[in-house]
Amino acid sequence: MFDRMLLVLLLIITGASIVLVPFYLPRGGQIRIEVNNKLLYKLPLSDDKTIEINGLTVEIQAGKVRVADSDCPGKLCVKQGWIDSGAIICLPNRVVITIGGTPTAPKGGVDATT
Amino acid sequence: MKPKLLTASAVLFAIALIIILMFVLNASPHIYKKSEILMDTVITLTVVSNSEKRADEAIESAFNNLRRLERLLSFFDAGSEVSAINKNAGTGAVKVSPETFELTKIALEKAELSCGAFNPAIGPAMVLWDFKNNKRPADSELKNILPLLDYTRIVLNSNDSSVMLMDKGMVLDLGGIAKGYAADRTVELLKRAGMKAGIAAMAGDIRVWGTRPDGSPWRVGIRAPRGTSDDLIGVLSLEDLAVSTSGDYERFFIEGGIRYHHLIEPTTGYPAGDFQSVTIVNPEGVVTDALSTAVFVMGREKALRFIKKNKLMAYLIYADGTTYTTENLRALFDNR
Repeated sequence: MFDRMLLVLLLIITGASIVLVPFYLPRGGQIRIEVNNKLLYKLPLSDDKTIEINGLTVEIQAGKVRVADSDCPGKLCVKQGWIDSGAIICLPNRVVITIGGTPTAPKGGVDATT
Repeated sequence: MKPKLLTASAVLFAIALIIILMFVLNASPHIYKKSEILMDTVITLTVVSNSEKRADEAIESAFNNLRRLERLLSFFDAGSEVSAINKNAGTGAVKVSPETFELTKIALEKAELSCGAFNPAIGPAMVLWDFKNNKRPADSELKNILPLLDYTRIVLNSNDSSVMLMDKGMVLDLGGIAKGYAADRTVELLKRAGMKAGIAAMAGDIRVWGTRPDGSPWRVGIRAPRGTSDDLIGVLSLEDLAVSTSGDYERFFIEGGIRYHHLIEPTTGYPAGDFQSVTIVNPEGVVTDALSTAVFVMGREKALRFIKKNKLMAYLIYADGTTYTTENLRALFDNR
């Protein structure tokens, strides 16, 4: 009797876990590229790729992204180098590259800069 | 196995599994972040939520509201309410939205409080100083517009919610307070949307609420004025507070060895010289935004008296690179 109850309970819990766990776990990394606040690209972080967009050369490689080159004056976006979380923003060219789907770790131990 | 022992182990096992399942269902809160380019700067909204969907929806509606505020308050957009007020300078009052009216009113209060160091009538000087093309106005040009920088000539009428600039040539510029105001409105909106914690960062005008998911305060870095944008001079630990920094490194050019920046002293029309940066912490973003500018422009002696009188939390970096942290801020401030 108890054996059977335990078995049923286990089966229910196992079944529920199979359905629910993947649903609640964070999804894999995804890159969003926006120009003028319009979403132009939504790409998996796992596919290596190089894109030319609004004066920027964006490279995706081995789960990381960087701006390899830009025609903007300060080139802060290029200097930022490779990132695997957070965002690269080029204000002059109005390009925002965000890595989404993975929880973002604070950069340099801070959550914002003033 | 004895039935009793079996029951006990079955119950224990079930409890353990239910606890695990509850953890999975409740998915511990995560940080969600999005940046957009608005109000001539980078705006980043951060929220803590256990639902990505709810977080995304809240952030999206906050950005929609910010786009609306930008359309009302922009100095550069010819279709904004601020532009309409400026076009009608010296000729007529302009009926405006509750937000534009409220913000102009707050701006005038801060001008009064700081004896004009924060000045929403600074517009004519900002038009002459061209930081995009690194062009310095002629002394005579600046001298000519000084009488137009009189904020007491901005008149509000609460009966019809209108704003009027009394003299032709006056230019209303809410750029020194709009981002702090936007941070306040954004936090209000995100809280209403059920977001328990987060950060509204309008570039350097930042307001935080709640804590990080682990219960620790949010950490906001203060830029080192002579470093790169990644170099920090200190870190503030903040909960339910706003912070703004006014720095001579934000918009500037160097000519003949002199740094000309955008924090203009309204009585001379020239950049104020006593500080590299001024950081103010206060519960409200409108206060930190306006008063960081005001304190910067006041100069050392007046600034210290003003800070003391108004019990402001402040971190000052003087022109020679030395620093001062007010006593009421020391517990929140870490040196780098």
